[in-house]
Amino acid sequence: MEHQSEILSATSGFIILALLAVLWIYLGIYWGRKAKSVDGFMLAGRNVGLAFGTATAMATWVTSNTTMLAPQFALELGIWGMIAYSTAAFGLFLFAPLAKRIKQLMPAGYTSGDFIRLRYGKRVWYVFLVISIFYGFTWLVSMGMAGGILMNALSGIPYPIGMTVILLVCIMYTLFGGLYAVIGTDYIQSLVIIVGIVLLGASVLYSIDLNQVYADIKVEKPMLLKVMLPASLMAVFNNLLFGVGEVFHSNVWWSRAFAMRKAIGQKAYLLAGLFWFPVPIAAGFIALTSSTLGINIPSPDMVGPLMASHILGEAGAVIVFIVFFCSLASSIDSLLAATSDLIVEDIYKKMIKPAAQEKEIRKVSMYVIIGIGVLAWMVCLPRIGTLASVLFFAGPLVTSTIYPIAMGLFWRSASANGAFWAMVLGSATGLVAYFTIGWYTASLIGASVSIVVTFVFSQWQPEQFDWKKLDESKL
Amino acid sequence: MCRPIFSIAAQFVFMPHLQWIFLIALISFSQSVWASNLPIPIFTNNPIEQTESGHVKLSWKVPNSSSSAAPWVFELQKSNDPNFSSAVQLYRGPDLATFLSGLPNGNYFYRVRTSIRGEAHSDWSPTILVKVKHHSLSLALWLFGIGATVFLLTVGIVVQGAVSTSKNQ
Repeated sequence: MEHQSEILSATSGFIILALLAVLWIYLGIYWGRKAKSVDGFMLAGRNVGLAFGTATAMATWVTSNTTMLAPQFALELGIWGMIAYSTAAFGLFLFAPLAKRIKQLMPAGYTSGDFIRLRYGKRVWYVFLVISIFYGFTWLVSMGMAGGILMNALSGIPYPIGMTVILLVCIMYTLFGGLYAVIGTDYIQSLVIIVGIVLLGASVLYSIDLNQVYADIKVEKPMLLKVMLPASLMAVFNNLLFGVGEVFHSNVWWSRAFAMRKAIGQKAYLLAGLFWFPVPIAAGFIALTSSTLGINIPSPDMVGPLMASHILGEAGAVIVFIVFFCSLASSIDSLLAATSDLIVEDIYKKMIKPAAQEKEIRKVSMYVIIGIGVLAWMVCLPRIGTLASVLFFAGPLVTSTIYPIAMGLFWRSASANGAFWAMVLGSATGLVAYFTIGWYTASLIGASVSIVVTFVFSQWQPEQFDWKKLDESKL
Repeated sequence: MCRPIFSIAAQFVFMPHLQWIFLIALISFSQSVWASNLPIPIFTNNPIEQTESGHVKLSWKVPNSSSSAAPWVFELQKSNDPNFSSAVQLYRGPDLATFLSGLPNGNYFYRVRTSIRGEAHSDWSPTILVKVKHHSLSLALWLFGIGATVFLLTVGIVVQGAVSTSKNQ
């Protein structure tokens, strides 16, 4: 354990952890009472309104990515790093029109995999499932790790215990309530996150002399203030496109688009993007004050919780603990539910047992949630890298799917061959960039190759796709 | 023979300043023994670290010691020359790592030692060298330009698609 100067005692940490665990599990059971049918469990009855829709999209996007990676970005890449992170809001902004289109074309759809299968056929569907499940799993692992790191940084709770508890709590309430529980808890969690971030931002501005912060960075970390810092310049659009790729392809966002009432999706995603946009800047800025406050940062992914708890003191550390726990839980639960839907709907129901009944599907969903959780726990245990390195490995894979999805939803001419080669070549070249240049270029390269390939095939081998084929209920 | 010894003992007991001298001597002796016994930390990084992004994590450990015991305070120094003629203290505390970022191009030397109460300390660890050479700016600007183009095209695809489909309805 590299960090040995915690703010809270381990006992306090365990008490807060126990209280949060009981609260979320109770709320999960409470909201999950409605989840009687498969549509209820997987898609919250397809009846989610604007307030819950906005809150769940915003809370899910405020994840370990935001509360812990945004400060890491600022610490590693400076001013550009904060801005780069906030550009991930474009993922939500650009998905807003897609959500409307998805609901129009696939009123009875369940997953993003359904769209790829119906639009491009099985060959592209297999590649997409590999990418999507791999990404979902990587995201889950990064958040399990973030939970362990967070609790260790704030209260000295050993990493394996913190990581295990947060995964266990989320698995339990997702099991009980499905998407109803996920969206309900997301609503509360989004309120806690917003209040916490505002409190934190105000405290930082009140307690720190910004001129001193600037002077200290100029002496100790001068490159963080440079507009022309090469790694940061590379990261800006890399992160933006990674955010777009994450939202466009992931079933976490598609399942919400299916779950929201007609005409709600577009507004909810636009509002969620607006609410989310300032959060990484507020969370990221505090990382730049570490020199002024003389706080040692043993690992870049610990900078967020460490700085927040030092600025707010012992009582503040409790608030930080709760806010960060909520931000992690709101994403872990969404991911467990959405990945399980993808596996159950696309693999079990479509490939293994098409005749499966509702009761059986519900049972399989629960086994899958437990299975994913256990597998993620096993991968989290050795703490294989920093959060950024784990998450961004999936970057080129997800950005390679942006154009097969965007063009596939709007262009009849987008072809299956184009989608297939865009995903394969985009992923491959992006991974080469990941290993040869750095993680901050991989998503950008993957997206660039994908857009060219999808476009070239749409002109060279155009299809004339019939949109009616996407509505399986009428086939 | 016994009489002089008793005499010295009696003087010691009844003369408080002698007690203080003895106590200070005892503490100094124990500190010098402790100092010589303080373990020298070692970096777990490579002897030469290279970075193209200006950030690096330095970690160290105390050989043959479990980190959870950790009774020591560590002092980390940085210098631009291997002799540490212009050394700057970067960190002093119980942590076993530190993350450095925002470093300009150049060579930086680091060393660490253990200490107790700022008085006794071990010898310095073997030095490590961090070489910072940022990516070329032209490569960064190229990638920035490609990223901006891809982003604008993406916005164009989505907006044009949304507008045309809403017109068709």
